[in-house]
Amino acid sequence: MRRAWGVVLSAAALALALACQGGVGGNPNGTGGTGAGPSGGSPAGGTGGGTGGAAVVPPIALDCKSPVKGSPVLRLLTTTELQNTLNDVFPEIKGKWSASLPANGVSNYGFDNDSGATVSDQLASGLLDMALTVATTFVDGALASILPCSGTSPNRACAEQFLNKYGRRLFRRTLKSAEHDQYLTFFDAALGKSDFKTAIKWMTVGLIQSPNTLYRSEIGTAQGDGRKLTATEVATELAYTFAGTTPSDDLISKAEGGTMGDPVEVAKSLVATDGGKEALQRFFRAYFDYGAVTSIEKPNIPNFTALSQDMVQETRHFVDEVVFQKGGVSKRCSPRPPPTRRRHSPRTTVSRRPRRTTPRWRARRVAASACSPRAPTWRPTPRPTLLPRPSAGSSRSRGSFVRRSRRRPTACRPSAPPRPASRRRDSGTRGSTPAAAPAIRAI
Amino acid sequence: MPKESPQLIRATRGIQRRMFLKAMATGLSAAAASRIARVAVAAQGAAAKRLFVFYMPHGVAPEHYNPTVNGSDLTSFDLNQTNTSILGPLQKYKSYVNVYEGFRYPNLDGTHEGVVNCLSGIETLDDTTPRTTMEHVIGKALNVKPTILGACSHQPYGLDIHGKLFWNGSAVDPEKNPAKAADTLFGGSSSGGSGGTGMTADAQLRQDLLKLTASEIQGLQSTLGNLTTEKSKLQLHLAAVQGLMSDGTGNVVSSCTTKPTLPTVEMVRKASAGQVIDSSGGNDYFYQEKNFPLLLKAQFEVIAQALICNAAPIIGLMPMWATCDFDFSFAGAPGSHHNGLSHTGPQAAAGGQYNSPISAFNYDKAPRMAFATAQRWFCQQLVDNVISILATTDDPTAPGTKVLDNTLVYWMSEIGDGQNHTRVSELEYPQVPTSLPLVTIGKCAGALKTGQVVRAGIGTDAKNAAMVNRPATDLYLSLAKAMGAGNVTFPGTTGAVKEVLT
Repeated sequence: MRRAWGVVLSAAALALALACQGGVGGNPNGTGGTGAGPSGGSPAGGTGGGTGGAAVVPPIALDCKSPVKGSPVLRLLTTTELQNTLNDVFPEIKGKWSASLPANGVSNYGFDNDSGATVSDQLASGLLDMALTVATTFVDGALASILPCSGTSPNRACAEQFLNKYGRRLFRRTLKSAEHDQYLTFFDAALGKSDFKTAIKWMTVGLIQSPNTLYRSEIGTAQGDGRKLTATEVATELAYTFAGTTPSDDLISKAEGGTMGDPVEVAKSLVATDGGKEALQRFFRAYFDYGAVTSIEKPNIPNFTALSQDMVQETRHFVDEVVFQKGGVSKRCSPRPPPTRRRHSPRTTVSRRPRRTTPRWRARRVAASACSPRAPTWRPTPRPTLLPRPSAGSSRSRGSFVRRSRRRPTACRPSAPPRPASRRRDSGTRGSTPAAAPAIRAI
Repeated sequence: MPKESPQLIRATRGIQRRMFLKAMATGLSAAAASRIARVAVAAQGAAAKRLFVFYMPHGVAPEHYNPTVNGSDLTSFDLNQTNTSILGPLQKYKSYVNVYEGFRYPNLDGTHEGVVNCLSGIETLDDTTPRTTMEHVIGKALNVKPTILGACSHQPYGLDIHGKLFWNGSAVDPEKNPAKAADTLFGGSSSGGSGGTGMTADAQLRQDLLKLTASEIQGLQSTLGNLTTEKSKLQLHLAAVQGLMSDGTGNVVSSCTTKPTLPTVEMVRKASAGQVIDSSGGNDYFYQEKNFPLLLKAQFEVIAQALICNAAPIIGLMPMWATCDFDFSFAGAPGSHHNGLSHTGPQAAAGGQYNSPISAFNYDKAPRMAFATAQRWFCQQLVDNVISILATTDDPTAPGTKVLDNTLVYWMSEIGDGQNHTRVSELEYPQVPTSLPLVTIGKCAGALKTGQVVRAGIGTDAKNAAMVNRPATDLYLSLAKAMGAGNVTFPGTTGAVKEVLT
């Protein structure tokens, strides 16, 4: 079981590493595509044959034995993280408000928590609208339960009580005295222009759209030639990485009190929660890019809408099984004795399992790539697999399990060098004979 | 000095009062409301110009796109002369149309990821460098905030490089929900103020709070020492918050006295109500393939009425992301749009000889008819849902003219030939002139000379094209001038296209 935790932690650490290095490896948007250029005329010509011309993304070289330290950053919460946070901080109004923030930017590696994300004009406007919606819902429907003193003594002390409790949850640390005073001063001024309820509403808006709420601080303090995260920053990192949400009140208290303990144990407890499992699922969904299959139509496949949803669920079960139930990838990849009979190659090992919850279209591939002695790690491959590209009807792109030709990083293994890019064509069968045409490339 | 009639004075005051109240109702300060009211009245005197940028993903099949010019007279042309003419639906309105040939985008290395730089003219093809696209450049010059809409404009899981067409410093995520856009532009359900204290208190507190947030950002900046990247990040955040504080700048109030009837929008509102999006985003109503045609129609419906009412003087619309692979069976073109349709290459006609290169005279147009059919569908939707309506609707801001007389519709794609991903205008194999599909429709209140093919140099190959083509930013500069934003600049311009400016 311990090995399984290692895999889980490694996977999440990989997510962090990927996000951290979004801007490190240079411009990930390469020139377009692979494929041959013009190759002469032909009566048959060619019917094209592009596979996307997608950007060539340089692989990320990971060295798990000597990981590179991340840069100190302020990492913007993703939409999901922000919504999870608000639902955890204000559970009384969960499901009673909705917001439509602009979509998160997605890096060419497929993840939406890139450290380079910034607050645009559009996002700032959306955040203000969302904060106002949450605050209005809160004061209109839950003020009495969240803040009982609002009914008996709606005054500055009551507002301070609210500020100390909810400011701490949103900032993920106790407010500094200057921050505390700043907000109370705002409240006083707001009360002078309106009423208690309105003043609390706008103070809540302020707390929600505060940079202290919106950014996860990975700044720390200078120590030697590096920096060291504060205890509350560590708690924040653990909570968002392994549970996809803000640290609990208890975790903040432990961090501030110096009693948080072993971060690995904290991570274990977080990832075991429902939120933690969902966070891991989100990681794999971004890594494998399978979710989009439910947004498309396949007119030639009966009941594809239901089928696509089943495919997603099956993949989730597969991830759940590998990560949580079967000891993780590292256990599956333990050295195994060579097969005594040639009848069953290693590629068919998994397919003989009596009870299959693993997707059929992935089982053999994973078994072959992950558990072969020659490939001791789980390595999604850009070569054809058994899953049709979710967003393509073309047979030539069948099997693209990963998004377009995006090169996914290979965990702890050097990746093959990228194919040389052609000038700009991403198809390249212009006028060529079928025989002379380049082999159809799956992504 | 001529004396104004009492009726005109009363009407003017009425409009000012109505605009003032509308603006106040949107939460603007009294000063901003008053300014908008004055602008609204000023607009009564001269026709209000509108700009609509319409993106069509992934280029064209040039042999089905190019206009047929009769002789050397570029004002004598037809748009419907091939078996599947992409521009055919515009034939009826060709007196309003300009087709631009011989233009190029920056950075020839790009394919469809050129969607990120085609409207700004900057060289880089990355999707992080800040930039501003032409509609926002013009909007800033005119103090108008562009309305950016989208129908399935990015992948369900988020905004990746192929969805980043419109930029205002950073990429703009188009509004996916036409009902929300309509409510914003024409007024929807009440915003639920907190009663007795009224909007004025809320508006004041909003401003006070934004100042507080700005000071928090500045305070956080001051703690970052020499971490310049993070400081820059916060500087962008600060600028965005300060933009919110700028007293309602960029807000425009509809001049229509009643809310337009939007039946398709209401269908979308009803169908999408109550959806709960799963964590993958895959079930988001607004990004599902089966809903795309209806969503696009609803967005068009909002746009047509917004242009008529001048509720959104500058609009951008992005239907689908650049490499979207929706199946276009619904348009009579079975196959996935990007990989299946647009990547079909030209072929020789029957009887062509091996090693005898196919040419414009001996190649078979049939293989790319499906792609042309798909792209023509976009044109047909534009004509049916916007152009035909604007061409027949009286402009409330300029009696005696139609809305299309005062509107500038700019139709573009990020590449030329869908198969070959051309970013310049060149003589493409098999010897077909291939230009970027750039078209304007509308007279922009007389500022544009229309009804012509505007032809710059078309290169014999890509290298030559880079020398003889004109940069697309020349066109942007021209359109900006036509819109009244004459002082703007774009990267790499060589000057306005004088043939089109009156």
